[in-house]
This record gives sequence, structure tokens and C-alpha cells, in this order.
Amino acid sequence: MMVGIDRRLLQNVDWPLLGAALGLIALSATTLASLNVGRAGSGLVLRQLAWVGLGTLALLVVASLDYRRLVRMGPALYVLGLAVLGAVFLLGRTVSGARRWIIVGPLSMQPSEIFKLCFLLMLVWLLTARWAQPITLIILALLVPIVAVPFVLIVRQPDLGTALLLWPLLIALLVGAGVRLRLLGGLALAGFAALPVAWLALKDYQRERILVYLDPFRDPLGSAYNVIQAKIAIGSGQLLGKGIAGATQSRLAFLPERHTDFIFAVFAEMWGFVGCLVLLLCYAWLLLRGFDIAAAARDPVGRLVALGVTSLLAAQILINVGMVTGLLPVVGIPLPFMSYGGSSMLVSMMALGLLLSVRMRQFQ
Amino acid sequence: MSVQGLRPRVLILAAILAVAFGGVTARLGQLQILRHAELSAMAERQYSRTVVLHAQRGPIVDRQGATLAASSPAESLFAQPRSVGDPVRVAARLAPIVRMSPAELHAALVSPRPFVWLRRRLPPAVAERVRALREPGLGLVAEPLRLYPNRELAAHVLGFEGVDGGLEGIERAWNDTLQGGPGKAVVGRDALGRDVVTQQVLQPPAPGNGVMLTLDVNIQYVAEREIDAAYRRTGAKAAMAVVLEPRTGDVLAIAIRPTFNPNTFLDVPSRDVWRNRAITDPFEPGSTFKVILAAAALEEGVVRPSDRVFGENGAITIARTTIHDWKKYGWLTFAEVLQHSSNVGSIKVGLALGGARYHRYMSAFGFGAPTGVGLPGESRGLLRDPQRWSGLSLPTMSIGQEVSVTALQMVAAVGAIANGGTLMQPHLVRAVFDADGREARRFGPVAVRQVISAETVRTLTRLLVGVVDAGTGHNAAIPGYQVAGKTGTAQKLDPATGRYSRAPGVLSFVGFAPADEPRFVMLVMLDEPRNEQWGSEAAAPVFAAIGRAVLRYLDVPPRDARPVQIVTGPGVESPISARVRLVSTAADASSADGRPLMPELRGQALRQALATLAPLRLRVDVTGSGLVIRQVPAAGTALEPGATARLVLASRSRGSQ
Repeated sequence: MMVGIDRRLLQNVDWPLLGAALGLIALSATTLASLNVGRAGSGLVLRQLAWVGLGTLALLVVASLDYRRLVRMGPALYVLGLAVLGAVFLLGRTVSGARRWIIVGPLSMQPSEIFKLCFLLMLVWLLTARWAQPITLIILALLVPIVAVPFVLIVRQPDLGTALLLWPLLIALLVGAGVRLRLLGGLALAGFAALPVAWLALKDYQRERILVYLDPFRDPLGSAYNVIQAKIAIGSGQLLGKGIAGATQSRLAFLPERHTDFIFAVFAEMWGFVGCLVLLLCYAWLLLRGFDIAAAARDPVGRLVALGVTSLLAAQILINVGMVTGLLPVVGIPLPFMSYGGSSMLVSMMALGLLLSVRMRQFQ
Repeated sequence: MSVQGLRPRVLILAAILAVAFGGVTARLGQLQILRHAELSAMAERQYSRTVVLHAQRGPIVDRQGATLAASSPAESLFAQPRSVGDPVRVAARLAPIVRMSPAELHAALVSPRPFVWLRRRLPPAVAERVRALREPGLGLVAEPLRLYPNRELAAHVLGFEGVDGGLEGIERAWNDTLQGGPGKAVVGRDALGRDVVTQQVLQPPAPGNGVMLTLDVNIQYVAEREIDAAYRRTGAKAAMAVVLEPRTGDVLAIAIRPTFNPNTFLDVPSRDVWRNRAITDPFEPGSTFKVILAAAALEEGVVRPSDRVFGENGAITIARTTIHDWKKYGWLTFAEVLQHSSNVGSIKVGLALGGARYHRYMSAFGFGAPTGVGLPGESRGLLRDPQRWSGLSLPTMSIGQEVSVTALQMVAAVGAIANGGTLMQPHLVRAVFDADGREARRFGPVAVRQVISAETVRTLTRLLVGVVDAGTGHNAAIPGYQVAGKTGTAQKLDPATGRYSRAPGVLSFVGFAPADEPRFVMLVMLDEPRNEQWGSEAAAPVFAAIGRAVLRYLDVPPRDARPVQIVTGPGVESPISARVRLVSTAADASSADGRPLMPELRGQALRQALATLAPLRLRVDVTGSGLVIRQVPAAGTALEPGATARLVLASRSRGSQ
């Protein structure tokens, strides 16, 4: 199939899905505009909107491609992704202690963000490959290096948040691929059982080293400060929020990372519990559309792609909100469509593109 | 597996997500609804700094309204260094205006702190010039300046006010009343400590109330003048005079040397000069305390004035300690014991009275307990329980040793004698008035207890008049008036030897006048005078000098005045006692037919006017108080015998004395 948009495909565009995404982007833009972060001022919003434009382009390109073709490219993309991740170590730019960025012309990109999609396509390819059916323990064993190599590479950037995201994606795809639940349950139990044993086998200083290794920002004061400030901002938003002008915690720079990972706290301070419900409903709506696309998909490949994309977004949303509200430990994960950040926006748009690609081809 | 068969798997994942979303929503509800108050308060604390707006402090005035302390507007200059543009330039521009060195200002402007005071309490004109600089990072906050127009006058009573309220004296004791309700303004700030919201007044400051003291600036001034002179003349370590109105316990003056200027209270050689020694520093009263012994002994009937006591030729030995008199007295009446201040005689009377009874009277006179005058740091003195007395205690206490008292306690106790036997609580604050000058609270006289009977008072007063007329107190005599009083010379315990040193310790005189109708009771005390030539009675002449001026100021007529009948108008409270005696000074002016003529009375004080009218045998109808402003009949009118003169008086203006 050629790149290009068939008239019939256009009839199946999931407008509600795009509407939800557009709503989220609008909320993000207003929030960012109100922040006036640093010297950038309104430049922040413009830059983000430029990324939205670029992301839209990417969405269109991805949606126009048949997802089956993309999945077939999965192994190649995966290997390419690994190569880029490796290149980050050699060429990457270091920002606040983490070597995550790579410069492409005027843009700086986070390969680990893009890699999530490569990883997804790779897994779908493997789990839907004819020779892999039915999925046995051997197939699962084959998955181990496929997950472990990028995980280690990403963790060492270090970008623990993104690396951790690979796991819920894997689990969701295993569930969706029809791996027998008993097998999954056994694996889960074994994994859970192994964790503390492994942990106990380590010496104190080793544990501490691992923790520091996994998260170099493990400064208790530092991370506690983020969490406390986020809680204060969210709590002081109360039921109806303080509005843009009254959002002192966010706008007066008490809240660190307020335009990126902690943007949810800003939103919560400005618009309160009611605003948060609206935001969460937007996300829920978007995710429901994703499940709907998965359920309506014509083939297991489409279903797994849709399920993977939806799970990936869901995991990001939940981990980010959980982290900002203090339910989960702080790991750096941006909130899709909301947080400032080009790579995140681009990848989220491409993820939507994958969903659309599946949706548009569900009757073919 | 078919596509259809896998739908449940999608549902499983969707269900897990639904649960997770529910969890997040619940968490948001917890933070934003259940804990919103707590977290909002934390936010408030972080971003807003409350600035206190100082209220205009209430004035302190004397009993006639003369200003003793007042606040004038001033503004304090602060900087928020992080918002200051160019510290060097700002320091250079600011320096000449606020009269500080550019270097000093620069140091403050580059301080790492978010907020620094540059200069407190600038006059409004200077503040205006600072404002005109329009430099970011500088700010002005109203902070009134406290002024004491009379400088040292009554400094120890007034105390002074520091940046954060009254630090001493009335300023401290009545700080809550004077300071008013501070206002509140909020200044918002961001995480870097920069102010981002302009000052928002949450609560305007409520001006403080004024406090009217019982002090009289005129009496205070006289007391200060005389005490100052005595302090210099005698080279004493300290000197003080405390003047009370016996009838009310009103403190009319407390003059203390060394002193200080409360406007520049930090500019003192030692902080000791701030101390109101009249209430904080107890001393052994010595012979003045024989007044208390006499009061107790007379009241208990232990001794009568005419009773004779053998002087033992000037020495008595008790508990292997010999106590001497200045002279080798033989038989003395009790009146003479007081006149000559015989130690031996007093000790014998004390022994006859007994420790328990003596202690009861000392307590009843207020010794060993704070007077409750309401100034900070008041001492209770030292009065031990009889159980803890040694064999020597009763005799030594009979002559005012082994007991220590504050000047205020002593003058209040003698004031009880001057007040018919009733101890009045000495008090300093007459009234509190609000910013509009309306009286908010009034503090009347407080009678503590009847200590001795009126009969004893009469007897004792006669004896004390004798002390001045014919005894050791002759230097305290005020011509034309009967003065009752007692001298005191107390050696101080030498801390090195534990014995009474030979050097002069405390010289004092306590007394009241006029003896039959006391208008004031006063203690003059000189602590360790150095210049010996002033002798052991240096305090008495100071008493006389102040007393003379006080009596003249109070228009108290001398003893040879003739009585006059006063009739006051209906419903009008006469400012003076109806029993007062007045001087007859009017030259008899008569009309041609021999009928007397109405004299010109306008501009005169009531007392003067009544004295003028006294020989004319008129009924006098008085309205108001102060100076005569209208009179009926007019001056020069021929008067019928028994006619009525109507006088209308109005308040004299301040300083007309």
C-alpha cells in the first residue's frame, strides 16, 4: 500500500479521539501560556505549538501508513532505535546530569521517547508472528533480552521513568496477545517473588548504589521538595481552583518542573478538583477510544497495536499523575499532550497516528 | 485465537485502567477537598509575607494633659536586595538623602537576605525624597517616631519605646494600651523571595490609646530641678524624690538621678541609669523607719508621747551587740526620742511592742509587698517573717535596719499617716483615653487598708511636726507651713565585712505638709553622698525646697490665713475642700458711702478669688473650675452685706503656672 490517503479511509477517521487530543493540547497551551517560565515567556507556548504542528505532520504520516506494514518494519525500527540509544552515549547532550538528548538540526530529540514506539512495534511483530503461536515459555524467554537491552540502555542515560514504561507496555501486550493467563500469572508471581529475594541478597551499600544508580537525583530533600510543593499546589487549588492569576504556587516558581513533569499540579492549582475531573475525563475518553479501536480492529495485529498504544498512554498518564499527587515515587515521566517537551508531544501524536491507522483500516 | 475471543482481554485492561483512574480521582479528592485547608494554608505561608503596619502610638500626658510622650509620623526604609537594580548606583543616590555612607548602604543592598532595613523612622520629608528616587527594590513602611518633648523629665516613669514596643516604664507597662492594634499588609513573593504583589492592606492599624498619668509636670519639674542640684552638690551615687498626693495615692512626681534622655535612650554610659530606682532598688531606711515603729507603738498603746524612756547614756547592748546614739541621752520623752532620733529609745519601744505586733504593722503599712503601682520591675523590698528573726532583729528593725524598702513603699506608708491612717495604693495612671480624646477608662484612688486610727494619726503627726520644729528635721521646715517628717541616716552593710560601714549610706527625709491637711507626702533620698560638708541631713533641705514650691504651686495658703465660708453652686463639684483656709490679701476697697466695692477677680484662680472676697462676707456661688472668666457683680459695684457673688470659672490653659 502506498503512502497516501484513500477517500474510504477518511470516512473512518476517529474524530472523537482527535477531539479529545485537541482538547488536551488546548488545555496544555493555556497552562503553559499562564506560566511565563523563565526568560522564554510566551516563547514556550509557541515552541510547544510548533511541536504540535510537527507532531500533526507525523500523525498524518503514521496514520496514512498501514499499521501492518509498520509492524513488519518493527524489528528494523527496533534495531535502529537501539543504535540511536547507543549513539546517545557517544553524541548525546547532557542536560541536568542526564544524557538523554541528541541534536538533529535545530531540534533536540529524546531518542528514548521515540524508542517506545519502536519497541511496541517490535513486540507486536514478535507476538503476532506465525511461528510464535501459541506463545510459550520459550517465546517469553526470547522476550527477555529484547526488553532488557533497551531497558539497561535507557536506565543508564539515566531515564528511569521511560525505562520503567517498557514493562507495563510489555505486560499489556502479553495480555492482549492472548498469552494464557495462568502462564502470565505464574510469571508475575515468580517476578514478584524474585524481587525481594534479589533485593535481600544485596548488601546495604549495593542497594544504595543501585538506588543511586537508578536515580541520581535521589536527594531526599530535593525529591521531597518537589512532592511537597506539588501537593501544596494541588491542595490549594481546592474544589474550583484559584484561576490563572491566583495560582501562586505555580506561577511564583515554588513548583519545580512545573512546565514539564509537574504540569498536572499547575493545572490542579488553577482549576481545582473540578478542572482535574475534566482533564481526567478527557484522558479517559481518549483511552476508551483506544480500547474501542482495539476491540474493533480487524486483525490481532491491529488490536495489539491499538492496545499497546492505549496502554502506553494510560501508563504514562497514571504514573505521571500518581507521581505528582504523591501516590508513586517521583520518576521523570511527562504527561502526554500536557507537558512541555517536543519529543513527548511528537511521540504522543505518532501514537495517535498508530491508533488512527488501525481505526481507518478496521473494515478493510 | 480469534479476534472476538480476545475481546475479554481488552476488557480486563480497560477495567484495570478504570480502577487506576478511580484511585487517582480519589487521591485528588483527598488533596483538594479533604486537605484543602491545610495545604492552602501552607501555600499562603509560602507566598505571602505579612508586614506589620505600626499603629500610631498613643500619647502619654500628665494629669492636666501636658504631653510627656507623643508619636509623630515617620517611615522606615527597607530594601529587597534581589530586586535592586544596580546596588552601587542606588547606594550613591540614597546616601546623601538618608545620611548614611554609600559603603554601608551598598553592603546592605548586596546582602543575601531577601529583606533588610536600611534606616528606621525617617522624617516624612526625607521619606518623600527617597520615594522620588523611584528605585525598584526599595520600600517605605510607616513606622511612627516616639518623641519625649520634655527630654529627661520623668524619664524613669515614662520609660521609652524601642522598635518593637515599650521597653521600660509606662511605655512598657502600658504597651498594649498605647500601641493600638497593629495593622496587617500582605506582600506576595515568589520562590526566590522577590516581592511580586504590591502591598495590600488587610487591616488598617488602629491608633493606640493615650494614657493620662497622675504626674504633674510642674511638680515633676521642681522635683527634678532640686534633685538634680542635690545630686551634683553632694556627689551622691543616686538621688531621688517621690511625691504623692496622700488622699488619693496619686504619684505626683518621681525624680531620679542619674537620668537619661528617652529620645536617645541608648546613649547612656550604663543601662543602670534607665532603672527606676524608686521602685526597683530597696534600701535600708534607717531612722525614717522610726515613723513606722512610732505608728505601731502609739496605735497599740505601748507608749504615749509623754512617756519617758531612759536613754542609757547613749548605748544599749543586745545580743552582745552595742548600738549607740549620737549623743549620751538620759531620760527622754517618746516625743523627744523621735525628735532626736534616739536609737536606744526606739529600740526600747520596739522591744516593748514586740516582734509579732511590729511585723504586723510593717506588713499593714505595705512593706515586704509590691505597692502595685504598675511599673515594670517593682521590688517588694525585704521584710522577713518573725520566725526567721535573730535576737538582734527586733532592735535593729526598730531603727530601720535589717529591713529594706523601696522609696515608693516608704512614701506610701508615710502617706497612710498623712491620709488619716488609710494606706492608699500609689498609682500613676489616672485615665486612658482613645484617639479622639474620649476617656475610655478612669482609675480612681484605691484604699488598701486602714492601718492606724485617726487618733494615732493626730498624735503621730504632732510628734513628727516636733521633729521638724525642734528636732533633727529642722532643715525640712517650710516657712509658713507645718511640716511633719523624719530624717534618716542609714549606714550600708559593707558586703566585705558584713558590718555597717562608717561611710554615709543612705540619707533620707520623709514627710508631709501641711501637717494638719496634707497635700503632699514626699521622700527625698540621697544614696552615698560623697561631699561630707552637707552632713547627715542633706536630704531635709531638698525636701523643703521641693515642698515649698509644691505648696505654692498648689495654692496652699500659709498657716496664718483666715477661714472663709464657701458656698458652691447646685450640682457643682467644688475643686477644693470646703474646709480649706484661705489667705486674706485683699486691700479693703470701699465705695464713697462706705459700702465695699466688688473687686476685679477675672483671671484669678478660685483660691485667690475667694481669698479676696473673704473679708467682704459674701455668699459665693462657684461654677466650673480653673480661672475666673466671669463675675457678677462686675468689678467696682458697691456691695450689700450678705450679697451673693457669682463666679464662673474655666480651665486654665496649660503652662499658665
